[in-house]
Amino acid sequence: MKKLFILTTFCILSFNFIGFGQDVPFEKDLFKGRKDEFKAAVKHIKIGDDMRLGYPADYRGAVNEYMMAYEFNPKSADLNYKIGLAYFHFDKHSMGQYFEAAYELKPTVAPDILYFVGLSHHLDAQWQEAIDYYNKFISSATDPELQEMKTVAIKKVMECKSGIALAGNQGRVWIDNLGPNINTEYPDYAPVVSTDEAIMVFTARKPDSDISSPVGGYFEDLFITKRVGGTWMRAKPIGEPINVKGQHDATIGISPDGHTLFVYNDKKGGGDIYASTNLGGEWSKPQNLGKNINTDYHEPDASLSFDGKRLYFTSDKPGGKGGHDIYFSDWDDDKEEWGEAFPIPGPINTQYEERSVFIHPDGETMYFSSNGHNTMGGYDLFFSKLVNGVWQEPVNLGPPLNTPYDDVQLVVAGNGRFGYYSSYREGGFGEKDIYLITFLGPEKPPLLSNEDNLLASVAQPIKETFKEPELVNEGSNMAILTGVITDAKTKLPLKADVVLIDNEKNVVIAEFQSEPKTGKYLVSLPAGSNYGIAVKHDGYLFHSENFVLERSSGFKQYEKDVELKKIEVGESIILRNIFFDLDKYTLRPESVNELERLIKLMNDNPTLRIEISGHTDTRGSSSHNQELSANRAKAVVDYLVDHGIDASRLESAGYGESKPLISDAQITDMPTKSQKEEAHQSNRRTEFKILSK
Amino acid sequence: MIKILPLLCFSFIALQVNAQGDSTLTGKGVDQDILDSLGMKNPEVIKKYNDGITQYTSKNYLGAVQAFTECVLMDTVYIEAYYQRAQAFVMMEKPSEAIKDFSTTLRLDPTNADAAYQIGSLHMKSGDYENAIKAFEKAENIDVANEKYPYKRGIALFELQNYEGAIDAYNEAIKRNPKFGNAYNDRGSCKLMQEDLDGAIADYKLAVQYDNKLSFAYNNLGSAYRKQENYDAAIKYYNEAIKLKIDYYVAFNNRGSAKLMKGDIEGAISDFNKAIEIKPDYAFAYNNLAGAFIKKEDYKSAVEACDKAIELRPEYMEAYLNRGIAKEMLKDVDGACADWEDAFILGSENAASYVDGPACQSLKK
Repeated sequence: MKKLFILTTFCILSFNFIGFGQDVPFEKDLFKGRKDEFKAAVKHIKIGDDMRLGYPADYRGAVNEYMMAYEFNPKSADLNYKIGLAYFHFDKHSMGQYFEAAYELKPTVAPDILYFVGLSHHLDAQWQEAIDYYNKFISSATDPELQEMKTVAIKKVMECKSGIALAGNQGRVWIDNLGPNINTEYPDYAPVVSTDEAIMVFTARKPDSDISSPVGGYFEDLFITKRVGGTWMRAKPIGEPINVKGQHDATIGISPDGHTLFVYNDKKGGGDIYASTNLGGEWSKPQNLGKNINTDYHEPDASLSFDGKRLYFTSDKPGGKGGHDIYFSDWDDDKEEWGEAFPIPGPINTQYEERSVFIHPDGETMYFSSNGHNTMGGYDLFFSKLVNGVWQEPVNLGPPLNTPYDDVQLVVAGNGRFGYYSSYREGGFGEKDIYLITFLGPEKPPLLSNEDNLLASVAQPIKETFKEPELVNEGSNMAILTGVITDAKTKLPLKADVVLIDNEKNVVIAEFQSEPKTGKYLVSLPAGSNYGIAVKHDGYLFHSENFVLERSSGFKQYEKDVELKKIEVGESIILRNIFFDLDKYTLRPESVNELERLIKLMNDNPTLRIEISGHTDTRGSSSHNQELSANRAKAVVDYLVDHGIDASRLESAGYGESKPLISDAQITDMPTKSQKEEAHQSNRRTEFKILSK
Repeated sequence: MIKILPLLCFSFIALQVNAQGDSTLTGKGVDQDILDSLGMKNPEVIKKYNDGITQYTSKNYLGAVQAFTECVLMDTVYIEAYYQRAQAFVMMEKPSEAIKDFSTTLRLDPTNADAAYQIGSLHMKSGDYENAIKAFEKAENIDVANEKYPYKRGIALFELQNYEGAIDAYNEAIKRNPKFGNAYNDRGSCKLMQEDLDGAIADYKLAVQYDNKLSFAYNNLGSAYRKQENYDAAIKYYNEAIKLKIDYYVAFNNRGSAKLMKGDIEGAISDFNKAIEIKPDYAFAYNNLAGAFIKKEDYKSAVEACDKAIELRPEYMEAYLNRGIAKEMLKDVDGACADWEDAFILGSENAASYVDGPACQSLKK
């Protein structure tokens, strides 16, 4: 009878404990009637502990074991705390409910429980609640062992305050999963994309190409996909020599033209940056970027400038501001190696981590991740603009791109409209997936229509006259020139040199090569210059193009297939980078590079005789045009003679408006004024033709 | 009413002439020269004239024209007959004939300010504001007290977008009648067009001060405040306009815009719907409704509202632009760019930016 009374009392008390949310520890006295189940549950907890605290730790396994015990007794503060800790390592979304339950059941369950409850609220973007818990933790954490965590909590309070400040500034973006051709149930992340979004390479840890890692999961490998008709094709392993079995190989950057891939591997320890090029249809064996880039420390990120002359990368080597910092190194043409690296000047590097640097091909925007600055938690994505040679204060890209979790490795296409990054979001395929970000730019204001009865005696209302609001330029300020270089006769692709010249400064900015197998080329042109482009190949006449891009010209993409002509009698080319003053025949200084190229051609082919001809558009009187074109042709010939070309090898001719490339009738049919102007501009030109060789 | 007044006036004169003739002269056969020298009319002519008046009154304008024509054939300086025939031509919508007769009236009687005014009004009606202004000036010079003449000149100048000149004309009208509410309203509108919003507000306030029934002046006052981005004041005056005229769809539409700019999306939607309820073919309200739906992020409804606006007004640039905005947010970027191209063709500079912008450019790859 006494026993029955005690048991009944215990059951009532137990019920009360459970009913009122009090801790029910795993003590055998509390589970006397369920001895076997109790023993099993305690065993699961023990196994879970071993998995969680062992090496390598198996947090997923630990959670599975803990959950068996949890089914038996969900009211153990200690078990809830342990489940929370295990989830913390692989699924922070799920840890909150267990930490909160642990705290509710027993506020003293662990000295750091307030920190973890604060963190759970933080990751749910419950900023003020998080601040409250962090502050409680900070004021109660007197144990010296908690001092480091206390310092972290103080920083986290700042992050929450940033979260509050940034919450009202939602970015206008769409974030779309790239779908099953790219993403899988395994981790897919770290995408890098060529400027024209033709190629994407990313890292994944999945069974397609590599073996399991001894520490769990699969080794990292690189996967490649191409975009066809706006759709990313099914990604395939990039293969050897980039992927190496049993080794982590990861993407970290790609050149704007997609011909050079930067990969990371840690085969030498520390983690270094390697480069692989693809100019023959195959990726070369990755080469270490050398001592000025790679050190005994960790170099995990790289990004190449539009001209291929400057490398931005990150390193945690000593001498920085703290953690990983962003450095730059310029290509040394003489030594044919990357030069000494310097930390990027200005406000970008902090005492915290700066990672995943990406320099946009517009030459003036840098994206990176940092857990410093005004992050709202973990790593946030930031950008900084280069203004008059100075990097400006970084700007947090804000929600929804940034979350309280780690948001890293953003790359932005040349057009500035699209970006790519990896994220662990609800609705994905599992683990991290790669997402397409569409930057919608500033809000487009709808236009309203109003009218008023402005005149008392006029019944019909008068529509309001209004000025359309001024718009902020969307996207990037740059152009991409893409196309295919072929032999004019055989139509076969050519591996040609594409030389980019700043006509105003008369300097060669960069030299690229077209892909030998396809003849494809891509040149990035930041806005704000007069560019000359020369396509050259031995034994062929060069081809020249000209692009003048204003500072705020927005984004333009030009497709220009180039057919190079062999040096044969009768062939002619247009010299697009020869400029004259308006309605005059004085050669402008911007013409020098093109003229030098012509001189070199003449010197390389000493028997060549050519005709230089001038052409105008059809505006103005034909007699004037005739005279102007003849004088301009003669000015070019005079220049060549002055620079050592024998006059007997040169003839000049003025054709005025008689040989337009685009007829007046075609121009009349063009829909816009700017197209018409471009057509007239095409007709105004200087040509040369081979008379004999 | 304006047209009937002179008719009655001249009928009275005609009756006087008739009475004079009956009492002093024997009618038929009297020498016209003698009658003329006495300033009297031939009774036959008077009879015809009265016949014309009768025809006019019974709305037989052709008969009236015929009768007055017989009058002037018999008496080529019969001013009243020319004047009345001009009025009949006005009713027959023959403005050039009317102008000719009013001009003859004015030639025969250079003090007839009303004839000049009628000429001005006919020129106004045909959109010939230059000649209207000349005629009103003539009327103003003949009658230096009547505020109506400079006021009408002000309207003609307004139509020519000569706001400075119009303000001078309205000033003259106000000088002649300092409590002339309509003139204050119109002068305010000139200032509004000159973007002198403070000046416009002051004038509209004077307009309603002197005539508190001017619903349109309250509406205009609201619009001036809306342009100043003082949406509370704008809404207050639109309310006054609507109170005076409960079916004032223009004011509902305007108030909706002010509410939208203030961030009251639901209030704006309600006002735009009210405007549509009063005037179901009011394309502007549909367009603005779309603007409110865009702000509400209800892009599907925005597209539907723009569809209706474009159906009612196929050349409606703003509606194409707004539909493009809504379509873009529905991820129909192709549709958006097509709409922006249409808006660009119809003259929108913003649409040109969108067509050249990254959204549309990315489609061209």
